[in-house]
Amino acid sequence: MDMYEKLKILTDAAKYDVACTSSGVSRGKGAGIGSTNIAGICHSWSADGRCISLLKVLFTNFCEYDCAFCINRKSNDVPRTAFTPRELADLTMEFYKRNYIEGLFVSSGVVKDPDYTMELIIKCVRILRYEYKFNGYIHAKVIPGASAALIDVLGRMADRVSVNIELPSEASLQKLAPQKSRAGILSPMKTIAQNCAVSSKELTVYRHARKFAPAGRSTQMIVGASDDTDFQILRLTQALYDKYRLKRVFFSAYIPINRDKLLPAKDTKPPLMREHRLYQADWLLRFYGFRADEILSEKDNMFNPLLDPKCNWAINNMHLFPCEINTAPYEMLLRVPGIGVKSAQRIIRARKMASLDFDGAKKLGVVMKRAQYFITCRGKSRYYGAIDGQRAYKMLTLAESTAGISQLSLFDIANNYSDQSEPGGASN
Amino acid sequence: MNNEKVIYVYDGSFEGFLCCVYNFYYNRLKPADIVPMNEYEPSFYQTVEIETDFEQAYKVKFAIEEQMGYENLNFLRECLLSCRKNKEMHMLNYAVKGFKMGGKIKNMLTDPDVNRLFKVHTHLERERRMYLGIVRFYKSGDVYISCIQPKNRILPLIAWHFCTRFSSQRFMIYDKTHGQALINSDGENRIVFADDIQLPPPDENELATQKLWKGFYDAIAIKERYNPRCRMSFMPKRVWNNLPEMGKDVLDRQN
Repeated sequence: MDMYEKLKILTDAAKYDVACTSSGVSRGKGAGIGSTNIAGICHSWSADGRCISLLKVLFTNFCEYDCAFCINRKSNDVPRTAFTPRELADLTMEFYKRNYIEGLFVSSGVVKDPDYTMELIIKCVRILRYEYKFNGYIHAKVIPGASAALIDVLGRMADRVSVNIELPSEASLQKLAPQKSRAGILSPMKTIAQNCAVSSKELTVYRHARKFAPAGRSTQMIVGASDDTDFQILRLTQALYDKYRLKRVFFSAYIPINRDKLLPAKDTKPPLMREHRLYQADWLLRFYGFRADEILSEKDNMFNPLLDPKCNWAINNMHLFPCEINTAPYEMLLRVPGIGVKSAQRIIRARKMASLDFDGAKKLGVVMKRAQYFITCRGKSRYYGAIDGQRAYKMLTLAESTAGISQLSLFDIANNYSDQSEPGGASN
Repeated sequence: MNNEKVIYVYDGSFEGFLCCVYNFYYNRLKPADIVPMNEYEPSFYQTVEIETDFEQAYKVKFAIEEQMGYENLNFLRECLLSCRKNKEMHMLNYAVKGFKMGGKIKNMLTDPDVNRLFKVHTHLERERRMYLGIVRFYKSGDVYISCIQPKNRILPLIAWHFCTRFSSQRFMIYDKTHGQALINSDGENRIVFADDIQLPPPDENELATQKLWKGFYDAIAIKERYNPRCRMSFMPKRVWNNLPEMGKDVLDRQN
C-alpha cells in the first residue's frame, strides 16, 4: 500500500478524535527545528469548520478491542493498515518544514497488547525528538492498560498526553466498551498525575530535568451514544479538573457509524447543539469561576437548547442583578451574560479612567443583545421598571430565534440540532 | 494654531511619521490628513511635503517614550503597518492625547481617538495571528519558499516567529502585496524590498508532498458536520490561493 492510501485510511480513522490543540507550552529555539506557541496556532480549517493544528492520525487501525461506538472495532470490515515509526516521523517532518502543521497528534488502535502498541508510538516519538531534533508539539495518546514505566517514557518526550475516558459513566462503558473498564482508564490518569507532581519536584532540584508533559493532560468523551445526562457529564468534567488536574476535557458529539442494537439508530443526527452547550459550560467552569451544580442540577439535568448556560443561570438568579458596570467586581462582571473574559478585563481597565455608559460598554465589546437585561450604567437601566427572569427569558429566546437566517419555530430549534453550528474554536 | 487645512505627505516610514508629529508641534500646521508618498492623490488641499529628518524623528521618539512609555511607542510603530486609510491621523490624535495624558492613555478605551486606533491594531493583530498558521512553504532545491498576500504589512510582525522556528532552514517569505521579502539563511535574517521577484519553481517531488497534505486535509473532515460557512469565517476565501489543500475540495464538489 502506498503512503497516500495509508495516510488517508489512518486519518479517516482518527478524525473523530477531537483534541486537536497545540497550546499550553511555550518553547523557543532548540538545537534542531521547531518551536511551540503558548496559545497554539491553527494552520488550517477543514470543511466541517474545525481547526487543523496537528497531524492527527492513528498509528494503526488494527485493533484487538470491540467497542460498539468505534469505527475501528474488531468486528468492522474496514481496510486496515499501519505506519512504521520511521514513516510517521518522516511525514511529520516534511509537513512541519512546510508549515502545514504545528506538530504530531498520535493515537492508535490496540495491536497485540497495550504495551506493544505504546512501544511503537514511543519509537516514533523518539526518532522525532532525538534523531531529527524536532522541537515542535507532540500530543500522544496513552493506551489504557499500558505499564507505568512506558507512560513515564512517553510523557517525558511528549508535550501533552491524554487518556480517553470514552463514556461518561461506568455503566455505559460496560455496555458499549466491555473490554475497557473505568478503573483501567483512571489508573493511567492517576499515574500521569503523579508523574507530573514528581517532575515538578525534580525541576526544583535539577535544572535540566525533563518536564513531564509540560502542556498538561487532557481527555475526551463521547456525547449522545449513551443515556447519561448533561449534569452527570458536567459533574464528571469538574471532578476531572479538580482531582486529576486536567488541562482540558473534550466532548465529541456521537456520529452513528456502526449499526448496533446497543446504540442509537444509524440515522440519528449527531447532537451538535448538545456538544456546543457542553463546551459553553466547560468554558464557564474553566474561565468564569462557575461550579457544575450552579449550571445544572439533579432535577434540571439537561441544557436548555434555546438558551446558553450562562443566560440560563442568570435568569434563574435574577436577585443578583442588575449589576452596575462601573463598580461591580471582576468576578461578578464575568457572570453577566454578554460579557466575556476579554470585555470584562477591558471594563476594569477603562473604568479607571472614565465612568462607562452603555455606548462605552458597547465599544469595549460587551454584547448588548444579552447584557442589556442584566446591567446598569451609572445607575441607569435601559428599561423602565423591574425586569424579572420570565421577561428576560422571553426576550432572550426571541432574540436567539430571530437571529438565524430564517424564522424558526421553537419546535424546529428544539429538534433540529444539526442546523446549529459548533464554533470551530471549540477544539482550540 | 493656523487653521488653513493642509495635507502632510511623508515617505511612509515610522521615522517619517514621527517627523509629521514634529511638524505638527513646531510649525503649528494642523493637517487634514497625512498620506504616504505612494498613496498621494492631488486634491484641493495644500500639500506639505515632510522630509524625514532623523534628528527630528529621534526627538519625537524620545519624547513619546518619556511621556507615554515604550509600550505606547511600540504600539504606534505597529499601527503604521496597518492597511487602514487614515491610520496616520488616528495615530497623530493618539500621540497628541498621549502627550497630555501620559502612559495611562492605553487604558482610555472608550475615548474615540483611542478606540479608533485600537480597532486598527486589532485588525492588524488578527491578520498576524492567522498568517502564523497559513504561511505555506514549498521546497526548491535547499530553499523553502512561500508567497503570501496579506492586507496589512505583517511581515515584520511574523518574522521573529518564523526565524525562531526554522532557524536552521533557508527560507523566504515573499509578501506580494507590499513587495517585501523576509529572507533567512545561515543564521541571518533580513527583510528586503523587492517589487517583482521571479519565484523559483518547486522541486519535482513537491507535488507528491502536497498531494499527501491534501489527502490528509480531505480525510480529516467529518461529512456529517459539513459546515463551509464556519470554515470561511476562520479562513476567508482571499487566502485560499496560497493554500495547497484548497486546490480542489472534494467535499465542496460533492455538495
